Amino acid sequence: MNRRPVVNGKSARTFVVYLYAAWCIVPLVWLVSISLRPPVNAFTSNPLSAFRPTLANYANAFDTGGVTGGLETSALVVGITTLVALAFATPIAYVITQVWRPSSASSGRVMLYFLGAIITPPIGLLFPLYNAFDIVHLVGSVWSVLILYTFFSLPLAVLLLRTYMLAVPRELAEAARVDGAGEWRVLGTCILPIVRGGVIATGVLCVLQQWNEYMFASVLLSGQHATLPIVIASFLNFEGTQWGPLSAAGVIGAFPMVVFALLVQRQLARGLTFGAVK
Amino acid sequence: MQQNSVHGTVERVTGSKPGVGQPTGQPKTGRRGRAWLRSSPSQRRGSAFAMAGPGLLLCLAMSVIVVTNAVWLIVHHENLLSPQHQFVGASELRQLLNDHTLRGSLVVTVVYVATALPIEVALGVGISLLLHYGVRGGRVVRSLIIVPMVLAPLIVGLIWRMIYDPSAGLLDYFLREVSLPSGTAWLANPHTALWGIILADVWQWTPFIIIITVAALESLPVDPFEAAQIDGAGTFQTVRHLTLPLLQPALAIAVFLRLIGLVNSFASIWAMTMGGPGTTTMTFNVYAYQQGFVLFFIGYATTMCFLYGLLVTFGIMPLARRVLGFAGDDNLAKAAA
Repeated sequence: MNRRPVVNGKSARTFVVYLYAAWCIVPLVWLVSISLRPPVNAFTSNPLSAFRPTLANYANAFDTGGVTGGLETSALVVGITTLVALAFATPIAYVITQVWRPSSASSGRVMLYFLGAIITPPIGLLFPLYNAFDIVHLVGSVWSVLILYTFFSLPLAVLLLRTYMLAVPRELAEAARVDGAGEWRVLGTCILPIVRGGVIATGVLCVLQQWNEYMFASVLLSGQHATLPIVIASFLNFEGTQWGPLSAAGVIGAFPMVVFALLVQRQLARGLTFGAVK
Repeated sequence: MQQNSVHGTVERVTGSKPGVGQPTGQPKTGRRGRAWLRSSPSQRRGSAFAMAGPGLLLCLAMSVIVVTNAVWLIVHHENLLSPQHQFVGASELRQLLNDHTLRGSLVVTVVYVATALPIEVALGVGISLLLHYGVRGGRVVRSLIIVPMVLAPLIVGLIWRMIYDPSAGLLDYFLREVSLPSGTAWLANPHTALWGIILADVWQWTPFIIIITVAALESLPVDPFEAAQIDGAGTFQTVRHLTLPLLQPALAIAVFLRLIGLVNSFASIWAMTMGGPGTTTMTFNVYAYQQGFVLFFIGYATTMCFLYGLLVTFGIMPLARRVLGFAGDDNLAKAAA
């Protein structure tokens, strides 16, 4: 009782936590500052040296670096795959929570499949899927990642939507069925309006997951049809590394995701654990 | 008991199963496999398959495509540059046993995971407890520390590559400011490169542990803590004997998911070192990617990934069951039992 713990005062705690927050944020502030420096020596040895902020790196990234195309492709691919994944996942989640009992063996097996899909290392899928896309001549086409990201989003979407739908009392769907509603109707008019917030959060979390994907995109896409991470990586190669435009492109790619993450901040723990922690 | 194969399981769900109904009004603890039908069994079963079927069948098709292509690549000596498809049977499996680089990459992977994971967990839980006991501006801090986690691992790799730069890097700048020896090429030095990529992962993913732990701390029951306070327990005692044991289920999930994340980590390492210098940061993923898409030995790469995938999936699956059992997700625990 006499020995007081080290972390007692609020000030001491605040100091340590701020130190940690600084460790998280300083590299990012540095990245932004590099992106705002004049392109000639953006990556300078004195990070605190004065400079006149300019958007030249951003202009570079958009004009010659292909960031415009990358942003378009990424937005298109991530948007479409998220919507398609939600369209497939919602009925599955509905069936395993509201039609079958959540505790039934059938629901358990579906869950086990998606759990297995999450655990399987992506590198194990990389070569077989590349080969498959090669056979049907889809390597280099946006269709390859459209198909792929849909399947990558499905397990996350099913497991998350399941946790939201578990919270809806089964009596509700039962009552609707007694009134003569079919299953699609029960889902559409009775369950979906209740879990709408959950569906949106699930969608955002799918977007967060696919927006940053690099490994598959790096072998399936190139040139005009590249997603943003591939465009950013391309700054490493031509004419040495162009750190200025690279930083600008990095900031552009990160910004929407930071906004999305803050929007679903309250759902983040649930989303990151596939619904296991609420 | 249920079978383990994930593909088999879906087949059984979507395939024909005798529609054994159960009388209405049974308690929720129905027998496994018979409890999912209550009223108008055949009708409901039909619409359930119509709803879940398309998605599950597509997943099943994808799994079949992956497996058939994997098998084909394994038994052929495939090279992306060569149009020939030479059948070699299991000879590439034998090649694996004599591959010293592969063995080295597995060691690097184990060191990488086993070093980064404890650091992330210890740091994450520590910061979470501090946040939970209250700091000034805690809300803002929580928003700030999310940011590294939502960045693309590729970007994180590039940021840290810049930080470690021997002449213009941020780390070098700090070392110069405090008059420590500077000018080290951290990522080009075989003694420091592995630490370099570990630190970058700690930077990006400690927030992951924090978010989960803080959410779990907030949902802990209040009563035991009041009781501990009445009994005169100090902060340290309470944390040691009450908070941490109560946190265990959520922490198990966080550790488990981080383990998967670390095992699969690729883009950040690729952006920082591409496995170098030499093979000092060559994790399994980097080595396999290099074999497949830099050297174009896609058949051999598939073979090693196939074994690695089996190793990881079946090594982690029992853990997954236990962890999700922890979470009180009894239906999954039951299905997996």
